[in-house]
Amino acid sequence: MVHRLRMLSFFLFVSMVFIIGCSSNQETGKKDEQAKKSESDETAELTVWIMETGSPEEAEAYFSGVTEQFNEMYPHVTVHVQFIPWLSAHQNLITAMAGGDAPDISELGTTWNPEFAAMGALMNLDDVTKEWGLEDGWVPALEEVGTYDGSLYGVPWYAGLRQLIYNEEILKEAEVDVPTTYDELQEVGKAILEKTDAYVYPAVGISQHFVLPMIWHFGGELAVQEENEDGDMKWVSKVNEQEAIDAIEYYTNMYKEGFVPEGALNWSVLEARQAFAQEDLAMTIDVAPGVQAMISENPDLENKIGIAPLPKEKNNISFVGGSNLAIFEQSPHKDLAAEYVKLLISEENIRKWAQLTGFFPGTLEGLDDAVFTDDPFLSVFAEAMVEGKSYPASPSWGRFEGENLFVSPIQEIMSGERTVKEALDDIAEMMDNIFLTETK
Amino acid sequence: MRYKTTLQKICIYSLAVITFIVALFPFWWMMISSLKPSHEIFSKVPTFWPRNVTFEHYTNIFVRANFWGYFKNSLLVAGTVTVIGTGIASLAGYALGRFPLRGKEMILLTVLFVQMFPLVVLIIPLFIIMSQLNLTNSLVGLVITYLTFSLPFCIWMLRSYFSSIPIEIEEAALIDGCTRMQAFRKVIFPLAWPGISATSIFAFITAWNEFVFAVTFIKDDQLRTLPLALQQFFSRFTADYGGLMAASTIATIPVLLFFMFFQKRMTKGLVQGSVKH
Amino acid sequence: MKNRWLPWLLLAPALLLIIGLTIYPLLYTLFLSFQHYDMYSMLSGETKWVGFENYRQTLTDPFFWKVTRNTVLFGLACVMGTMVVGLCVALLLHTKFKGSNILGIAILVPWVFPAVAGGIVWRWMFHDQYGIANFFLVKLGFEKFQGFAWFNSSFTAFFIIFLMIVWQSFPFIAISLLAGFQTIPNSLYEAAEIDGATGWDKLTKITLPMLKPLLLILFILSTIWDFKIFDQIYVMTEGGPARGTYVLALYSWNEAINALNFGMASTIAMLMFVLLIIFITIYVYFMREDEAVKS
Repeated sequence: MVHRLRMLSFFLFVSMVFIIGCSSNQETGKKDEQAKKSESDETAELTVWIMETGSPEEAEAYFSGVTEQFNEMYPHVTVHVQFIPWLSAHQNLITAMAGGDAPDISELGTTWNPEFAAMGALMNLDDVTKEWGLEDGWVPALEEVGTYDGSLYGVPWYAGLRQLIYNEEILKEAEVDVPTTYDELQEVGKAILEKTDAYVYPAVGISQHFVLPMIWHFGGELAVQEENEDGDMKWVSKVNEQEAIDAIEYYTNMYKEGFVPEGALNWSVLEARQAFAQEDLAMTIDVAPGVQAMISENPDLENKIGIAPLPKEKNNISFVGGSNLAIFEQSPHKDLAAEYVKLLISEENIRKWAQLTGFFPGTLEGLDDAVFTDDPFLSVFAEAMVEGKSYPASPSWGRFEGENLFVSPIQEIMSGERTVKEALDDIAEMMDNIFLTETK
Repeated sequence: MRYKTTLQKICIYSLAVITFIVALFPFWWMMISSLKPSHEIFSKVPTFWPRNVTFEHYTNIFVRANFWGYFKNSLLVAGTVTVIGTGIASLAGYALGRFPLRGKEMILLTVLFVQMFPLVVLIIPLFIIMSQLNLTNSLVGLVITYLTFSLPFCIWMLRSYFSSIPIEIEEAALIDGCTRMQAFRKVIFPLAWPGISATSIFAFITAWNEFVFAVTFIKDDQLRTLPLALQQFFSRFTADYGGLMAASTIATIPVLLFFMFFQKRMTKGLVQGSVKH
Repeated sequence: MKNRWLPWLLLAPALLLIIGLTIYPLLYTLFLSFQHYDMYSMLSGETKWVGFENYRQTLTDPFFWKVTRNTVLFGLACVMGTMVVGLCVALLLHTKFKGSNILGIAILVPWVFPAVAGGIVWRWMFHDQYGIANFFLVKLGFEKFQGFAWFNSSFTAFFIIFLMIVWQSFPFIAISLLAGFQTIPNSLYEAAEIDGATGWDKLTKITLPMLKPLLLILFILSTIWDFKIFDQIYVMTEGGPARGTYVLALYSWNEAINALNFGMASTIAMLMFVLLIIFITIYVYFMREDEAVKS
C-alpha cells in the first residue's frame, strides 16, 4: 500500500515538474515576443475583455470574425479576446488595474463607466470619436453614462431595457386589459387577485431596476448635479422628495396588498421570472432575452405572452442599461485599440452583436434597422430605447448598486420596520455622504 | 464493539439512516433536478422522480463549454496540492509534534495567523506578488497559493495526530535498534496514516472547491477550474439552473468515487498499523 | 548534533512557503488600515496616512457592532453545531455496524459539494413558493408553512444558513475524529474493560482526554472558519434581508470590492483578526494547561 502511494506521489511529482517546465517555456516564449515587438512598430498584442454571454461558441466565432477583419488592416497585431464571467468582472477589473495588468480594451457595465473614468483608468475618447464623425450618433442614455466631466470615456456598445410582460390568459380570466397607468394597475390587480389564483405584479424586494424607474414615472429624480458654495458641480440625492416618496409608497403597497407572495420580500428579478414562467404571476418586467428564457423554460407561454410599455403616471421612461467599450489608460497601444473599437461599433458588426446577445445597438445607425423596428416583439423594446434614461452618471453609482443600497430600505418598508419617509431620508443621506467623497 | 443488544442496534441503525438521508438529500435533489426539463425544476408541486427524464443539461454542458478541460485542470491542481502539501506538512507536523523545539508555540501561532485573515483583503496584494512572479493566469500560481493556504491547517492537524501517538511506542522501536527514520516509517507513519488521509482529503477538497483565488488569477478559458466554470451559468440577465445542477453533479461524483477508493485504503492502513504493534 | 537540526530541516519547506507568500500581504493589509486608500488612490498611488481614523470610524459605527455581534453569535452557533453533530456521527461510525462504510462515504458528499452550488440548492429547498421544505412541512400537517418565507427575517435566514454550514462542515469533523479514535491503542480499552468500564466511561475517561489536542485544534479551526464565512452567505442572502445577515467577512469584502475603500476594508479585517486572537488566546491557555498535565 505504501508502495502504491509512493508510485502515486512520484507520478504526481513528475506531472508537477512537467507543468512547471511547460509554463516556464511559455513564459520565456512570451518574453521573446515582447522583445521582438519593441524592435518593430508593426507588431503588437491587444487584450480585449468581453463579458461572457449565454452562448460562448457564437461569441467566440463572432470575435474571430472581427479580428480577421482587423488583421486585414493590421496583419501583425495579435488580438486576445478573453471572456470574463459577469459575476466576477468588476472584481477582475479592479484587481487587474491594481496589479498593473489591465486589458487594452474592456467591455464595461454602464454603471461602472463613470467609476472607472473618475479613477483615471480610462482613455479620453473625445478626439477619436470626432475623427470617426460619430460624436452625436449614440443612444442618448448610454452616451450620458459614458460621459464624465464633459468628455466621453466609453463608447456605447449595446443596451437593453425592461418592458411590461403579461400573461394574456390570466388577464382574460380576470376580465381585464393590460394596465397602461398606475391607476389602472390597481384595478387590474384587484381583479386578478379576486378572479384567479395568480399573483399580480413583480413588487419584489431585491429589484432596483423595478423600483428606481418608478421614481421617474411619478415625476421624481434620483440625483441631480447642483452647484455648491465653492462653485463645483456636485451630485445631490433627490430620492426623499415627495414624488419619490409617492412612487415607493405605491411600490411597497403592492407588496403589502398581496400583489406578490409574502416571500417576495426576498425575491429578485430571477425569481419574478421563475414565477411568471410557472404562470403564477400575471405580469412581470423583463428584458428581451428574459422573455426568451421564460419561453424556453415553459413553451406553453409562447402563445400567451404579451409585451406592452410600462405603466404610466407622469411618464413611463425605461431604464436603459448595457455595456460600453472603454480603452484603458494603461494600454501601450491606444491607437490600435481605438481602431479595434471602431471596428466593433461599425454598423454591421454592432448590429450582429446586438442580435447575438438579444439586445440593441448603442449607436443610432445600428439601431435604425428593420430587424429591430419591424419585429412586433422587439419593436416594443426598440421604441423605448431612445427615450430611455440611465441612472445618474456619478462615479459612486456602481458602488450603490454593489452595496445594494436600494434594496435594504425597500425591504424594511415592506416588512413594516420603517416608514417610507424614514427609509428614503436614510438613503438620501447615505448617497449624499458618498457623493461628497467624489473628487470631481 | 461486540456487545450490542437489539435496542442498541435499532438506535444505531435509525441514527445511521437519518444521517444518511440528511447528508445525501440535497445532493440527490440536485441530481434529480439536473435530469428534469427546465420548467419542471421549478414546479410548485415537486416531482421526486423526473416526469420526463432529459439529458439536455448534460449534453449542453459538454457541447457548449470546455468542461472536460476544466475538469482536468481541477484534478491536476487539487492532486498536486494534495501530494506536495501533505508531504511537506507531515514533515513539519512530525517536527512540531515530536521534538522539543524552542519557539515551537511561536511557530504554531504564526502559522495559524495566516488562517485568521479574511482572504478577500489579501487578494489584491497577493495578485500583485503573483503578477510580479509572472504566475497569474497559470495553474502553477494556483498550486502555490493553495499550498500556502492549506499548509497551516495540515500542519496543525498532523501535529496533533503525531502527538497523540504515545511516545513509548516510538521509543520502543528506537531501543529495538531502529533509526529515527526507520521508526518514523515503520511505526509512526502507519499509526498516523488515518490522520494523514483525513488531512489529504481536506487538502484535496479545499483545492478542488476553491473559488476566490481562482477567479482572481485565472483569465484564460483553457486554464479555468471547475468552480469557475459554474459561474458561466449566470450571465448578466439570465441564469441556467438546469445547467448549473448538471455541472455541480459532474463536479461532485468523480471526487466521491476517488474517496470511496481512498477510504478503503484508509481502513486497510489502520489494520496494518494495529497489527504491527 | 544531528537531532538538533533535523526538526528545523523538516520544518523548512513549510515555513518558507508560508512566510514567503503571506507575510507581505499581511503587513500590507496592516499598513493599509492606517491609510485613506479609496478608488482615487488606486491608480494615482496617492494615499494619506490617517493614523487610527479608520479604526475610530469603524468602532463608533453602530452597524459595525451589530455585524460583530452577528458574526460572534452565528460563528459560535455554527462551531457548536458542527462539533456536536461531527462527534455524534464519528461515534456512530466507530461502532462499526454493517454498512458503516457506506455511511462513511455518504457523509463525504456534503463536503465535496461545491460551496456555491450548495448555497443555491439550499436556498432553493427553502424557497417560499417552490421549496421542497415547505412542501414537506405542509404535508406533515404544519399548514402554517404554506408559503412560509424563511428569508424574510434575519433570524430564520441565519437559521437556514446555520443548517447549511453544519451540513457542509460536520463531515470533516467526523472524519478527523474517527481518524483520531483510531490512533488510540486498543490495549487501553482492553485494560479499561477488565476494570469494568462502561461505554460512557470509555468515551469520557479515555477517548476524549486522549484526543484533547485534536479536539481543541478542531474547535479552534472551526472557530476561525466559521467566523470568516463568506461564500455561503453571499450566495444565499447577500447579507439580506435589509442587511440582517451581514457578517464581518462580507462587510470587509463589500468595503473592498464595492466601495473600493481599501483602507476601511483592511481596518475591518484587522479588527476581525483581533477578535480571532482573543479566541486563539483561549486556545493557547488550554494548550499550556494540557502540557502542564503531561510533564
